Amino acid sequence: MKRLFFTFTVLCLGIFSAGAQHPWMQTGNAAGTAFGLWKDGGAVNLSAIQKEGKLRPVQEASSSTAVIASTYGTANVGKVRLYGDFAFRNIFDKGLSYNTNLYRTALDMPYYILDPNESNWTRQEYDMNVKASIPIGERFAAGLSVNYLDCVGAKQKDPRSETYLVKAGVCPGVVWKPSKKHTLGISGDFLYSYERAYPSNNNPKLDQKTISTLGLGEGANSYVGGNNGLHDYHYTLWRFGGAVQYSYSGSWNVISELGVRKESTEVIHKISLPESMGRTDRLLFHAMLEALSGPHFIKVNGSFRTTDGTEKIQVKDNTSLSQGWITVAQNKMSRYNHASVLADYSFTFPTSLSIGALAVFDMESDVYNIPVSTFGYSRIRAGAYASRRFQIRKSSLNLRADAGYTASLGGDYVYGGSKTDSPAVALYRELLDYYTSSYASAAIAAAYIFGGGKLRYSVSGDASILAGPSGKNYFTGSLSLGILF
Amino acid sequence: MKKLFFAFAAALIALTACKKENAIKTVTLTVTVDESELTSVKPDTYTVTATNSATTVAVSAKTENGIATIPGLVPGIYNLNVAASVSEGPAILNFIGTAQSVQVTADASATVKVAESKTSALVFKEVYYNGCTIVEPSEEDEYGETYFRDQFYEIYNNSTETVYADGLCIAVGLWQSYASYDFSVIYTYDIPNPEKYIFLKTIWQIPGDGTQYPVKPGESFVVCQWGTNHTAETLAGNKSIDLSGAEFEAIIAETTLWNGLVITDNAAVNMSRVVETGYAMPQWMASVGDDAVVLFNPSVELKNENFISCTNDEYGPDVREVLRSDILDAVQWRTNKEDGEKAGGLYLPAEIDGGFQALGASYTGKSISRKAASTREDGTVVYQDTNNASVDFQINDKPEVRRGGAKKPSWNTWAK
Repeated sequence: MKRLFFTFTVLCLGIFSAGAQHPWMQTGNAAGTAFGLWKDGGAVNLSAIQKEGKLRPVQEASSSTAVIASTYGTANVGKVRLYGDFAFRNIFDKGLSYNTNLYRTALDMPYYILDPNESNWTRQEYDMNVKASIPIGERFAAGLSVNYLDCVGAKQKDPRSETYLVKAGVCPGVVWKPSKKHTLGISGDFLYSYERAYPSNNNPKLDQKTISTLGLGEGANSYVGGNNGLHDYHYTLWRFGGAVQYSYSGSWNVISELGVRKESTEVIHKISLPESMGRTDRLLFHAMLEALSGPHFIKVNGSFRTTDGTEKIQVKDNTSLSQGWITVAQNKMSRYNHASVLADYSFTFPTSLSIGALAVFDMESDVYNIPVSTFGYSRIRAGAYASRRFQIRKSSLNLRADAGYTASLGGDYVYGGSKTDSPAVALYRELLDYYTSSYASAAIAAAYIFGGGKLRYSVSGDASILAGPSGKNYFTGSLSLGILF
Repeated sequence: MKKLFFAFAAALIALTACKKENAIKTVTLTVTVDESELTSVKPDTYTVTATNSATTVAVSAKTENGIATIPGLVPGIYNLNVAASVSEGPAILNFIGTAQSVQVTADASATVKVAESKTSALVFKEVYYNGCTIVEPSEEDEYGETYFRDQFYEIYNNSTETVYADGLCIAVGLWQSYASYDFSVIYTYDIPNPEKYIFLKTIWQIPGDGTQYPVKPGESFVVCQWGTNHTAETLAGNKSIDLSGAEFEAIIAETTLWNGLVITDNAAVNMSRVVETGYAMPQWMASVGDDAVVLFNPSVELKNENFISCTNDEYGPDVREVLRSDILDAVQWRTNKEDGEKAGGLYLPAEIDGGFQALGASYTGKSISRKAASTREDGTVVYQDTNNASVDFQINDKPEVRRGGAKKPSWNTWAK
């Protein structure tokens, strides 16, 4: 909700230049930006975001303060169209639970360390993206997207970890424009991600109990501390994927994409004596369509993700010269499915007033095979919004208001194992409580852009609230100052 | 709708899947008990416990005609424990066998050989190894202050006969002779029939002419690191215990330590350090976290020379071999339960001690003591002894000498 709203605010309030708003920027194929309107420009922004509340997944912060410095720019260099952005985020999270070593937990990553001690986290992120495209003749273009994300996070209470995450991705693509109206594209999607965390204790005299999780409440009792406690965890992800795109320019302007990604993540404990903690194999499908015709705007998104968790049965070879863990068997022990669909329609009046409605459906269906445990939920969100742009001489004021309701369609967590008192089981009970909550939401946003000449300035802010049952709410507010050039 | 959606997704996955793992299903383990080393008495049935080495989930079954069938196991690596007890007059015979790292990735069978051990007259009744915390860590004092010089071992006559403490030997520090600190190397020693021995680095022996230190049924004696009143304000204060009445202490002579602390020679009888294979520490101490204590009556002279060396690690220890058949009792402990449950995570063979205790941390001030099994007509307590510290011992918030009414030996004239 928050991300969608912020994106809308940024895009619809005109903070991005024409280059950054190019329809093909929303696809994974940069080659498409070689055709169509393109304008040089850029911006520098300083933002602060505050989040507070109990209506959240328990592995996320109950209170979070983020300070973000970001910039982007678009340029033509000869025939090459370039786009680049960079963001530095300094994030202070408070009140997270059940995560010892992962920068961010995910429902389909079952292999990590979990402890029951609620803790703060501090995080820093360096996020860079570059897109380049070049026409090849009249009908073809080639493009390349490169993205790099570097994160460091530190849990602030024993057992604590300092975790380092780096992601580097590249998406080469080509497009073919057989006519003025039609453009076809195909792109690849390759990503390497590596995360390393070493859990430790500040108090060396007190070992900390943890769970080396296997999924849906299953896990092995473990601990951090001493000579034989948990050591370094390593997550190595490779992604291979691709997508096809199609755009149409006519009475309707349409951009669409259909893509698939296959990701495999190996989780290793103690790199000096590598022991497999498991592997996930993730398959993702996504589809996107946006259509604009006069005052009508339609957007449809859909995604489906299925992840298999494979556990390796290993024995340790203790012979002095060839020590190591030997895999004797591997079994698919768990599967995590998620699906979501978004439909959004808006109408813009000549007065620059826009009204719209959207609906989002998402569902999760997970199973651990032996002993059988299941987790799942489904929910639907419906919302309406209105926005208007006011032109005041050379300045503009943009306002937007949202209201919505998220209705739980049900959910269940059935734990079939023997460790019913485990914190890993408590985690899923709390997650179910969140994902099966129904709640109302409301949000407002405003952006004021002023100044003339080569430099313009922006002040924008937004606030949103999720109002759930039993007084559980979640508040988000942000303020941003920017310079546009 | 939901099922249709995921059925469609499953079809997509099937089309794209390129790597196949085993289709997961539960497996059945059949365990046969090998009684070939038993001589006379054989139990009617054994309890077989299979513990998954990854999740530590344990499943048990009873044998019928020496065979136990355990269905419904998650495929994995299992540690097997086979145990039974039989009463033979006043004594109890324990039958214990183990098998480590048994691969049960499909329906499987395993054979576990059991060995017999008779319960000893002398047993460890209370073991206080963990140390205490005098000053808790704080923002001003990150590490706090801890104390470990009050370690003691209370040994009890659990039989109906008078026995003698003269010449008995006691040893700790098995973690040093068993494996490297991180368990990456399990030490091996090149001697004939190594399975008949345990290996020790330091051994202390109680003096005596064979009848000097009688211990009657229901009496106990205390072997301690330092037989002083540790509740003195200059030591550990009320966090510790008064050991000035202990029977034996591991002291050769008064010693001044590097920090100025004077280890005084007290009323307790001084033991002799008969074996020291490495650097001679001024004091005798067990690990406050992971270790074991062994009481044995040596059947051969313990020479303090010609030690045997570890063969698989150039930095491994020199040790003295001690016959397993000489061992009267042993107790092992790990800080964290998870380590003891791992394959190879214990220091002693199962027939000596099939289990362990875990306090979860060092310097908790807690002790472990043997559970009472029954009381005789004369009022003496019989303590449980199945050679399995996991089930025979309980955890106490504070140590206590002669807990449960054990009597001190008559020759101890200095205890209050």
